[in-house]
Amino acid sequence: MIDTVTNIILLSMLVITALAIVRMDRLFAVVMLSGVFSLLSALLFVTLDAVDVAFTEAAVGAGISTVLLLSTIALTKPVEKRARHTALVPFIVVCVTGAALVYGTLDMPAFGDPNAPALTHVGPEYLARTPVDIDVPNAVTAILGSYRGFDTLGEAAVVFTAGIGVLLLLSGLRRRREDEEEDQA
Amino acid sequence: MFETMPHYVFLFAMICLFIAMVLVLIRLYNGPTLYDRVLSTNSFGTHTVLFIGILGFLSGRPDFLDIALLYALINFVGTIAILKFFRYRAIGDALEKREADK
Amino acid sequence: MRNLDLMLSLFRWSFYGFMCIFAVDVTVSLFTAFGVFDIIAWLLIVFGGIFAIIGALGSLRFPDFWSRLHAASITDSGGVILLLMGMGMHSGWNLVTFKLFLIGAFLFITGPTSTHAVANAALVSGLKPPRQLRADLERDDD
Repeated sequence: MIDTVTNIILLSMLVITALAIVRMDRLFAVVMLSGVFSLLSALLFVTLDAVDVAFTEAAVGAGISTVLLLSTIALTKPVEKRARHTALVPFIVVCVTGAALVYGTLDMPAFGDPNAPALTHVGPEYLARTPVDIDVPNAVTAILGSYRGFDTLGEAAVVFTAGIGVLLLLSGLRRRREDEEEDQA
Repeated sequence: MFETMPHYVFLFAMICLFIAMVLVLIRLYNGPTLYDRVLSTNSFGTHTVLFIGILGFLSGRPDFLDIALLYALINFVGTIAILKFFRYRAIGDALEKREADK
Repeated sequence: MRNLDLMLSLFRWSFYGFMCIFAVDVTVSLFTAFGVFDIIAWLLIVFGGIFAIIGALGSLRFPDFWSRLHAASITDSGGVILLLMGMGMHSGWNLVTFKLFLIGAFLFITGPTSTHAVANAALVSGLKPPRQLRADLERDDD
């Protein structure tokens, strides 16, 4: 009961924040509202007991992406450009995509259903083998760190490369801008 | 009565935090200056930290406080990062206003 | 003789210390038995929630940025401390209390820091306090 009401309130706050992001034309406010949006969705993940996803959402959504968006704004303009064409086609595309996604959720098993495919195929196997194979108490950590170790290594490499690329781009741009200012002065 | 009392107390705190979060969101939406928005974002983060704690106690499993700690960290780092941008890169109207004051 | 005096005072003070520990112990167990700590915890949590609403209401309704800063700090200090203390008292002595203490200590340090940073950035960027407030501040300086 309380869980349901909490979810409804959090989801409606999420929708209101999303509408505010769409309505706003000052981009700094949009960045801050998107930080709040990801905090709210992380809260939703906490109420769904998906703690690790909530960790990731908070770190990426509220932490890094805010800073990245701000640095993007620092390189461009802080005010939204007026659109020259109507928003009808994007609106229709978004509506169709949303309808397809909602239609897709109809086939999903209910939340916490013990007969869900994710809980009947390999899940019990991993849960049974983790304490024997690797002595890690958290099954998710065991799967990520050991059974799927190469995959995680690849992900870490991708994220590391992306971070280095962003750092290089930002520092190079700043130096170039300073050079231009010196040339003008 | 005393067995269910903590339940009502935590429920009351949660409702209070919900109302406070909505009020802060309104201020974040129509805050006239940039700094109002930064302040509201920071305040919203604090409310989120408290909300996770209250939620854990309300559902009887206060084991998720690590996330609350992480959120407090991210909130502080985010606020300082935003302000550092405004202060040193001097983006947008902040710079123009300061130039106009001189 | 001096050694004897020292021994006696040592005994006396350790006796006082044990009596103090005993008194605290008896009080704590009595309080726990009659549920006083629970009631204090509930009061703290309820007042923390009310403080949070007051802070948010103030930051919504106050007329300018500087007074809103003041209202937001009510949540940052009063609400946080009351709610976390209430939750800690409710849970008793365990790992949860330690985590709550960590959160509280962190928010206690970073809350005023970030509020100060916001105020400083606003002041540097040229957002001036209203004239009446500035006059008050200048009078305080004298």
